Amino acid sequence: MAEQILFIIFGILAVGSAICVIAFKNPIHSALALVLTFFSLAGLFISLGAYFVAAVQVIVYAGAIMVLFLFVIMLLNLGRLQAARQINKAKVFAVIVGLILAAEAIYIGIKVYDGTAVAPSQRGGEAVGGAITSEQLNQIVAIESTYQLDRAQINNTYVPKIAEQKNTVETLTAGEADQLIKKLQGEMGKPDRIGTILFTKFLLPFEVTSLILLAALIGVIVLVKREDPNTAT
Amino acid sequence: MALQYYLILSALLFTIGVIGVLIRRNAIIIFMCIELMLNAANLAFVAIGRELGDASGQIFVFFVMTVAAAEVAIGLAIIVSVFRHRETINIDEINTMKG
Repeated sequence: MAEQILFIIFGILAVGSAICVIAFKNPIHSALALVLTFFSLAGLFISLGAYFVAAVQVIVYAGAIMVLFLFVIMLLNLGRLQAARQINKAKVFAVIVGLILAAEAIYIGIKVYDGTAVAPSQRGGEAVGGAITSEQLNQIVAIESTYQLDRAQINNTYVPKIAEQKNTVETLTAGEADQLIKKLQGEMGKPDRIGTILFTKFLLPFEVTSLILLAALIGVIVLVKREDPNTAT
Repeated sequence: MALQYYLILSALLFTIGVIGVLIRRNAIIIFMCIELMLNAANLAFVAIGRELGDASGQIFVFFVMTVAAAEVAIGLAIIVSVFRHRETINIDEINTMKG
């Protein structure tokens, strides 16, 4: 229920402020509307359980990137350049193309997704009463190895929360094991879990990212450097 | 909350970004609309990742954000240097590649 309410609030806020971004004449107003869009997306990430991504969204997007935008807008003093005609002649055409695109994307969202891609733990509760199945045990082992969790840690902290007076995974019933898997998966957005897989499974992409940032850094310096005729070699 | 609603919201945000790129003439606003589209994709990544019980979606968002940060830095540098040469950032007036 709470998730529905958050989705409606932040969803309306995100779409409304996104429309403001393309509707406002003054670029500074657009930039501020975009900050609001980023914040509402951060709210949606939190309601999806992606806490780390939400924090990075606020820090990197709403913080760093928007400061860069506002800095450039103010540096170039674009307010005085507001042309009388900000909107293209092809506006009607663009809106029609956009609506067709929206219809297609929403169609894909509704129809093509048929619900088969649901994690096994969310597929209804067959065999709730019986003992934990080997499939569920394998799933727990897979989660443990992905996030480098300790079986003892799961036994001590997670199992008692789900079933009182039980402290090993093996003694859980199938239904309780479902809850445990759901809980472990629900916490995958926590910063420590993200950090674990970022520095194990995704170590190479992470290092390549630093090359992208280095290239961007050098590129920006080269692009905006003024040629000084006195020191030119 | 079903996955479909998140995908629809993501599609709407992406479309708003596309319309913005098509109708606005100001290069900086066009850049903001590109950011909007990237964010719509991020929302889809996180929503699908949760549905699959896999954190890879969130890692992808992390990389998309890094690339977006690099892209914004380069793009704004290009805009600044174009503005120095042409005294405008209206893309109707910057429609040739000649310096």
